[in-house]
This record gives sequence, structure tokens and C-alpha cells, in this order.
Amino acid sequence: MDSISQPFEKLILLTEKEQAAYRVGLSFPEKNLDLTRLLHLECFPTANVAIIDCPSYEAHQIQEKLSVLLDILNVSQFRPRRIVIKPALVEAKLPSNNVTPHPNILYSLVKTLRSIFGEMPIVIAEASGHERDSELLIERTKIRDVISDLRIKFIDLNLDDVVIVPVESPLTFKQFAIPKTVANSDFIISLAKMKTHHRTGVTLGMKNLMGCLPSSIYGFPKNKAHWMGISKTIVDLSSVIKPQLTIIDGIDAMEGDGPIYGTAKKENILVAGLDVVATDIVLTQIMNFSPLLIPKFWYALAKGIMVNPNLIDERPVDKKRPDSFLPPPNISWLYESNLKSESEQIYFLGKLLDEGSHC
Amino acid sequence: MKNLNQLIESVVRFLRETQHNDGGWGYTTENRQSFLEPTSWTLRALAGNSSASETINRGIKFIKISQNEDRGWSNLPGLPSDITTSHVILALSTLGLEENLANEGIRWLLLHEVRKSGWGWCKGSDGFAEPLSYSILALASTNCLSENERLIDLLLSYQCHDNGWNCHVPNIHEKFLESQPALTAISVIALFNSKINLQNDILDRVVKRLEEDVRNGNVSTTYTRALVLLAFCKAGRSSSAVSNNLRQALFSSADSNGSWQNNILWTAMGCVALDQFMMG
Repeated sequence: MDSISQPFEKLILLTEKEQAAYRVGLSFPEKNLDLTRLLHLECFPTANVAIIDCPSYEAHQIQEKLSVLLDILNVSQFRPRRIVIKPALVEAKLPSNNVTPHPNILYSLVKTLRSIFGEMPIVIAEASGHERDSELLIERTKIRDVISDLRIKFIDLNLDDVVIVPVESPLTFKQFAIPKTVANSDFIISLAKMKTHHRTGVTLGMKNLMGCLPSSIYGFPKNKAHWMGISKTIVDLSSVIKPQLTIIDGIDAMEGDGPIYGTAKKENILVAGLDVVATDIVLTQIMNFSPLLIPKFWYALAKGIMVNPNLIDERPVDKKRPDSFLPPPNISWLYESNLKSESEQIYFLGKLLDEGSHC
Repeated sequence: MKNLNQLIESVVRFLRETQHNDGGWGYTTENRQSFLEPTSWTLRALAGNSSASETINRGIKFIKISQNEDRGWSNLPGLPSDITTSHVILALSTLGLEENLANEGIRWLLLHEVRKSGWGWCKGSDGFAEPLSYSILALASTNCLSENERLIDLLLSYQCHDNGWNCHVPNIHEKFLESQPALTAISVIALFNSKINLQNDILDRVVKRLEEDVRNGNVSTTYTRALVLLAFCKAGRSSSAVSNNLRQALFSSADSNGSWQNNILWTAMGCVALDQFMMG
């Protein structure tokens, strides 16, 4: 079982600068991998990702929009026995703090799923990384209102039984301890917020999977996973937990010093995709960051889980353009990354890889 | 439930009934696996209860078989030893049993202190307020703290600007971070249990932080209430109006089966806090 832990001592020996580079995922070991494939995303399998405009958190409107999205993605083709919705509830913050997905999205999602699949077991499950008090978590985030209105269950994954799951070709952990609720589910929905992140550049559907690691094993915060480099860990996790559906709340997004202390950015979109990596690619591009300069996509490529989004964009024509999100201050290289030419991006990539090679 | 004694009786019954065959407890009644953290809290809750001696013996047996070769413990048996070791030490010292086992745990803790940051959640990683506080409590409970002001200074260095604590390391973030009442309570318990002479104004400020949290409605859930009540008791404020209100809120939110929402950890914590309150 040592393989769910790692030799952290050798990381402590790194200088502070090297540790910082390591933690944001710059220590990329695959020297011979052609990362420039991330510029055009060709020759990867494809998955549908749909995007729609949604200017408010009014529940009826969200439900209408979600119905369109799930219809485009032909979600009714699935025959789930039990649906686990995993919202990204990292801290016990009010919806107005813009840190967690809005409760009306969750409410409307459950209603939409019931209209597609009929009455069936649906649970909301989360292993919050910063809040041990799950009662407080669901109270502050207003998830309690949703679960009581819709009579569904909240499962604190931090307290769940766990199963040990092996990781194929691991970048970090050879095994993960995964909550039984997640391991036994045949339909997982990763429901995240569109935000920047000071360790991974962006936090979307893939990063949300960190909330499937029980803090009873990984700590509050999930220090074991942080030390191994979050970008690598979430790619390993994405190879083990594969959500059937990823939904991103991009109505009120967050830019700058995310995922908690950033500033609100009105984006007015809802995004849904059948593959978590492809969905994250779409959102990254909308934030006007180049996937080439985001380490988690390097690792996804190395791991062989890259998926090219087949985008179905339902937004009005005049809104079909990327916005420019402010990156977190410590990941300043993302500034205007998509405004740079391809050759400039490739030059910049070389500098990043060189910086990380010291770790 | 008519009074506190009756509640504690039914809590003890609930805890006895939810013990697993291996002698441990899960976090909730839905767990089939036993974890060392709720097991340790449950043993603390049962300490001194003569009707629970057989249950306690089986719990200790679980602790013994779960010990790793390096003499530490992990939350889930079989995983590498981690900060759960401090919870086990606290349980054993509260019970006043298995001194050798507790000492082995202390040796593990001392060997795994991280220079400059105390204890992290897992071996070798950076320190945080909660694992540091529980380690201070474990050391203090076995008289191994020996006026170790360095650890208390370290804990104080993790304090937020608002005099409380949270799950982060605020001094490495260059921004104002709000404290979390539960984390503040754990740190306050560690400060008062350390028996280190601290300036009164430091202690006053941290207790005031908690009182303000109660007044602002930030202490409204079982987990946080139990820890904050325990902190007030350790700080010698159990007779204050704030403590009494908190005690009443905790008492009246218990379910008729003697649990708080069938959550074994919260139930054990609630019992420890109410017990402490009754002892004044």
C-alpha cells in the first residue's frame, strides 16, 4: 500500500523556486514527445462538447438550456443505474462568492436528468478539500436547499468506504484510494465552475476529480496530491475516473487569482461534454489560453488520454469568440497566450520546459 | 431526551451498537470499513464508562492490529502511517491504557516532525494547523511536550489575521484569509492543553474570536459546535452564556437514537464535548 504514498522527502530537498515550478507541473520528463500536437489537436479521438449562452441563474432558464445541451449530446442513449453528480465544492462559500457551482445549476440538472431518465437514484457526492464540516459545506453553498427540495442524498466522500484502484502507467500514484460511491457508479457527472487556478492554470472538469480523493486519506487540503503536482495527479485521476458527462457553470466565471480569491467574470455560458479532457480544452480556449502552455494537457498527451473536442456551438454568432481571462499571477506566462503566434508559443514552451527541467 | 446524563447514556449505547466486528468504527453507520480517526474519538467518548469496558477492549485490539511496522498508524489500516497516529495516542492516553503503545506512537511522531513546519497530513509533507494541533495534544497528553514553546510559536505563526486558524498556511499566502471556527477550536484546545505560559492577551484574543464566531452564527453544525464547546471548556469558559447556549444547541440537535445524524465521528465528538462541559 506504500504506492498510494510517495517519497515526499526528495521534494523537500528542492529549492523554493524548484518546488514552485514542480507544483505547477513544469517538471515534464517526456523530452521526446511532440507537444506541438496540442496546437491543432489533430489525430486524437473526438468527443462532442456543446456550448450554449445562458445569461442568468434563473432555474427555469437553466433547465431549458441544459435540456438543449443534453439533447445535443444525446445523453438519453445512456442507461444509468445510479447517477453520481460530483459538484466542485472546495470550500464552504456562499454562491455569491463565485467559488462553487451555483445551486440552481444543480437543481436544474437533477430536474433535467429526471425528465430524461425518469425517477432514478441520483446522489450528490463530494470530498471537499478545505472543509471537514460537510453540514456547513452544504449549508453555505446552498446545496442543502437543493437536496431537501428534490429529496436526494448528499454523500460526504471524505467519510465513505474506499477501494484501492490501480493506475495504469502512473505519472504520480501507482494506486488511488477512491470512495466506494464513485468506484461503484456507472454514471458520473463532473459539475465544475469555470475558473482560473493558481496551480493548474484552469480549474474545470478534470481538476474537479480531485474532489473524489477522500481527505480522510489524502488530508485537508489534499496535500499528498498537491505535492506530486496537481496537473499530473488530475491526469492520472482522469484515467481512472471517467465522467460520462462534464458540465461547466460558466455563467459567472472567475479570473485572476483563482480558484478562491480571483475576481468574478460574467461569461454567460453553460458547457457540457461527453469527455472531460475535450470539455476542458474547449473552456481553456474560450478563456483564451493556449492548451500548449497548460501543463495538464502535456501530461494528458503523454498519458494518451487527449481527446479532440467536436464543438457544437449554440451561441449567437456574435458571441462565438474567445474572451480574455486574466491568468493567476504566478502563472503569468498564460498572458495573451493565444494572441501569440504559433512560433512564439513554441518558443515559450521551450522556455517553460527548460525551467521545469531543473526540478 | 430529558437531560445531559440521559443523552450521554444513549450516545454510549449508540456507539456500542455501531462497533464493527474488528473492534473499530466507521465514520458513519453506512461504513463497512473501520477507520482509526473515528475509532480513536469513540474510545475517548467511552473513556470512564464502566458499561463500555468490553467495547473499549475490542477497540484497543483493533488499534493493536492496525499498527504499522514503523509503529505509527494510518487512518485506514494498511496504508502508510500518518497524522492519525496522534489521534490514537490521544485515545490511549485518555483511557490511561497501553502506555507502551502510546509511547511507540510518540516516537513515530517525533521522528516525523517536519523541520520548520511541524506536522503535515502525511509523512514528509508540509505542516498545517490541524495536524500540528493534534500532535501537540498527543505530546501533551503523554507529558512529552516538556515546555516546548517552539511548537506553540509555530502554531501561532499559522494564525490568520482575524486571530483564528484555517486549513491553509496563511503566512505563505500574501492575502487576508478568513479563519474557520472548527480549525480555530482545534488550535485553541491545543494552546490551552499545552500548559505553556502564554500571554493572557493572546489567549483572550483567540477565545474572543470563537465567541464572535458563535455570535455571528458561524457555529451552527454538529462538528463545529462540538469542537468549539470543547475549546470553551478547555479555556475555562464552560460557565459563560455563550458556552451554555452552545451546549443547549448541541444537546437539542441530537437524534432520539443518541446520535447526531448517524455520524459516528460527530457523535463521539459531541459526547466528548458534553462530558467535558459537565465536568466544568
